[in-house]
Amino acid sequence: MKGTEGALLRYRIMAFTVGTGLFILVFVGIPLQYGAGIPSVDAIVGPIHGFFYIVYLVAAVDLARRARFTLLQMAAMIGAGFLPFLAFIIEHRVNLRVKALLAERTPEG
Amino acid sequence: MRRRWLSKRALTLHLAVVLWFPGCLVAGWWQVTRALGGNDLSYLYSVEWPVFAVVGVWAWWMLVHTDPDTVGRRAQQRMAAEGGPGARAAQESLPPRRREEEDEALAAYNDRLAELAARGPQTWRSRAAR
Repeated sequence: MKGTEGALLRYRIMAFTVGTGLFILVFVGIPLQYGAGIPSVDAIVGPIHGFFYIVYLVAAVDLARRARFTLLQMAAMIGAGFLPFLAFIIEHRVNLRVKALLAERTPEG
Repeated sequence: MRRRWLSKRALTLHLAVVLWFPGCLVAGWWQVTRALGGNDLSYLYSVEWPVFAVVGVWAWWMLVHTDPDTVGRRAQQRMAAEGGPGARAAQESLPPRRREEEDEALAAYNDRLAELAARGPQTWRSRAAR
C-alpha cells in the first residue's frame, strides 16, 4: 500500500519515544516520587509522554491500516504502550513483519 | 454495505469504539475532578483523555472503511501473487495495445509508459535506494 515505508518509519520513531518515556516514568519517576518524595520527574515526563502516546496511537493505527494488519495485531501495537519494554519488543516484530511484506510486494526492489 | 458494517471484523470494531469512547470520556472527567481537587497535572490529563476518545473514533471509521479482503498476511500474499493491489482492475480497464496502428512517436511514447508502469510508483525514497 502507498506510503507504508514512511508509516513504518513514523511508527518506529514513536515506538522508541514512547518506550523510552514509559521506561523513565516507571523506573525513574515513580521511585523518585514515592520513594524519595521528588515528584518533578513524573510532573515533567508524565504529560509529555501522554501527548507522545497520542501521536504513537495515530502512527500505529496508520501503519496497521496501510500494512493491512489484523485487529489482533493492532491491539498488540496499542497495548505496547502500557507495559515497560513491550514497546521495544513489539516494535521489533512489527518492523520485521512490515519489511517482509514490502519485500513480497516488490520483488525487484 | 452489509459486509462493511456487519462483518465480524466490523462488529469487533463497533464494540471496541463503544467501550473506548465513553471509557476515555469517563477517565477525562475523573481527571477534571482531580484537577479541581488541586492536582495541577490533571489539567493536562483532562485534555488528553478526550483526544484519546476522538482518536478512537477516527481509527474506527478508517478501519471500517478498509477492504476486509486485503487484511491479513494471507490476503497480502494472494494480492502480491496477482501482481499487487489494483493489478486486475488496471488490466480490465485498459484497451489492448495495437502496435500496427502506432506511428514511431506514439510507439516510443507507449514503450516509455509501459517501462514506467513496470517500475511501479516512484518516490524520492525509492529513487535514492537505487
